[in-house]
Amino acid sequence: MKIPCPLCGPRDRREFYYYGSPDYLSPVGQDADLDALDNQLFLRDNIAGQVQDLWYHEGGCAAWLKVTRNTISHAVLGAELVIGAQAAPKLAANAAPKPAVKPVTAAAKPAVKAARKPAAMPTAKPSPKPRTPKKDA
Amino acid sequence: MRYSGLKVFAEGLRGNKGWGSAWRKPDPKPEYDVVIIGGGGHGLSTAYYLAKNHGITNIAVLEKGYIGSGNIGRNTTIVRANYYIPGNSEFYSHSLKLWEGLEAELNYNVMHSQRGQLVLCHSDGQRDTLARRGNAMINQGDDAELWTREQVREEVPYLDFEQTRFPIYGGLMHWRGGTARHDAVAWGYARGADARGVDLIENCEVTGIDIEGGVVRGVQTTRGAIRAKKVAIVVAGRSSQVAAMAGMRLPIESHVLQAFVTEGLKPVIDHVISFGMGHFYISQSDKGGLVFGGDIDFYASYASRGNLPMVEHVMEAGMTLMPMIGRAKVLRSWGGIMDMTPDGSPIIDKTPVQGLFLDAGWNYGGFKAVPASGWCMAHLMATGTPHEVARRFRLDRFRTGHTIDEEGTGSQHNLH
Repeated sequence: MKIPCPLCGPRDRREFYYYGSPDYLSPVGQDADLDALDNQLFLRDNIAGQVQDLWYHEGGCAAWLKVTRNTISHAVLGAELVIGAQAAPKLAANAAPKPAVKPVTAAAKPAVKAARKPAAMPTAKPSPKPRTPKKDA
Repeated sequence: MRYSGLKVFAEGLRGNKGWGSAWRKPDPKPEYDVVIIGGGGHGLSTAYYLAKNHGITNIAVLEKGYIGSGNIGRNTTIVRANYYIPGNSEFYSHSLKLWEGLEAELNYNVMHSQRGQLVLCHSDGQRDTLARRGNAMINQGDDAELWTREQVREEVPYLDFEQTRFPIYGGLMHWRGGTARHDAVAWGYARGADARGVDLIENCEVTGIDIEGGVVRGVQTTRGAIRAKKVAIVVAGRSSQVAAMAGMRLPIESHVLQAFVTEGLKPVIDHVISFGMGHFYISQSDKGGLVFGGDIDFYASYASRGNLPMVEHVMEAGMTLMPMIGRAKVLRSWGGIMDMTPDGSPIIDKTPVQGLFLDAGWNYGGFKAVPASGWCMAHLMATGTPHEVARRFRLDRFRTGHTIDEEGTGSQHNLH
C-alpha cells in the first residue's frame, strides 16, 4: 500500500501513522454538549467503501494528510494536505489588503520524478586463478 | 442424536451410514419471537442460551454466509481469563468457567485445551504490571503465577534468552488459559441451538430493519421479510452497516487483523506464549501447525486481508521471541474484520430502539468471550436487565465517561 503524499510523492505505508476519521478535524469545543462530543470523538460512519481518513507522514515530511481510499479493496485514490485544505478559507478572510496566500493544493505539488533505474548489479570479477603453491626446491 | 464413544463404535460397524446432519436447514418462517442477526460465535451462543437458560426457542439466527464463515472460523483460538479492569475481569472469568464445562454442555468436542497461557515481561515496570494483573486475577478467583526469568526458562527453554533488545524478565502464567478448536465451537453451539428448536437460516443477509414508532418490528432479508418482537445485532465487524439500517451510528471502527498458520510440526510449543514487548501470540494446534498473530494493520479495512508490512512485523516479533520457528513454512494467512471500540472493550446493551439489542465491539478478543457473551446477551434479551458480569458493557459509556480501557491507550479506536 502506498500513500501519495502531496509533498513527497507515493511512499510506503510504513512511513505513515494512521489516526482515523476526518471527524477529528472538526473539534466541537469544550462547551459543546455531550452528544456533540460523543459524535465527534467516538461515533463513526465506519463505511465499507470509499472513505477519507487522516494519515501523518511521520517517516517523511511530517505533514498531515487526508487520504481518499477504499476500505474494501485497499485502493488509494488520492491524498491532500490537511493544512492546505483548512488554512485556505481563514487566510483568504484575513487577506483583504494583502495578496492572498496561495494554499498548497494537489495541483501545486512538485512533479514526481521518474523512478530511477536501479543501479546495475556489479559483475563478479573473474576469480583469480588458484595459485599453485611453489614446491619446495 | 447424542454423540458418544459407543455411538462412534456402533456407527463404525454400520459403515457410518447412520450419522445425521448436525443441524437442520429450514426455510425462514414469516415471524419469530427473536431474530438474531449474525450466525457467528456470539450469535449462536446467544441463541443457545436463550433456549437453554430462558426457555425461549422460537428464534431464527440469520447468517449471511455459512455457519463458521466469519471470525469464529478464523481466529487464533486463545481462551483466557487474565483481564484485570472491573467490567472485564468478572466477565472473562465467567466465560472461562463456561468453557470448562462446554464439551459436556454441548455434547460436542470443542477440543478445549487448558495448556496454560504465559505472558512475558521485559522490564521492571512491565513485571510490576503483571504482578498487579496476577493479583487481580487471583482476587477474581482465577489462577495466576508470577514467574522469574529462571522459571520461564525452565518451562519454555526455546525462547531467546540471549537477546538484549527485549530481555525476558519473567512472565505471568495462567494455567487455566489455553486454546480451543474454533470451528468446533461454532458447530457445537449451532447443533445445540438447533436441537432445542432454533432455526439456523444460512445464506440469508439482512438488508433492512423495520422500525415503527421507535419499536422494532422485524427485518428485511435476501430470503424475505421476517417479523420479530426482539432483534439482536451480533455481526462483529459489520456492526456499523447493520446498525445504520436502524439509523444508528456506533462507536466502532472496523480494522483488519491478520493471522497465520504454519505447516504441521511435531509438538514443539506446549503453551500459549504472548510476547510482552511486541504484540505477538503463538500456540500450536493439535494438527501441528503453529497458529500465531500480532497487531491489526492499523488502518480501517473491510478487505478481510491485510498487507505485507504487518506480515513482516509479526514475523519479526516471532523471530525475536523464538528463533527456532524460522524454518517453518507459513501455509496460509487470512484477515478478519475487527470491530474496534474507543476503549477496546465490548458492548452488550439495548439500543435506543425498543426491542433492538446490540452485541458488538469485541475488538480482536471475541473468541474467548463466545460463551459468556451469549449467556449475558440471552439474559439481557430475556429479562430486560443486564447480567451482573456484563453490566458495564454499555453502549453509551463513552458518552458518560465509564470507559473500560484495559490497554490504557485512550480513545483512539485503532490503539486497543
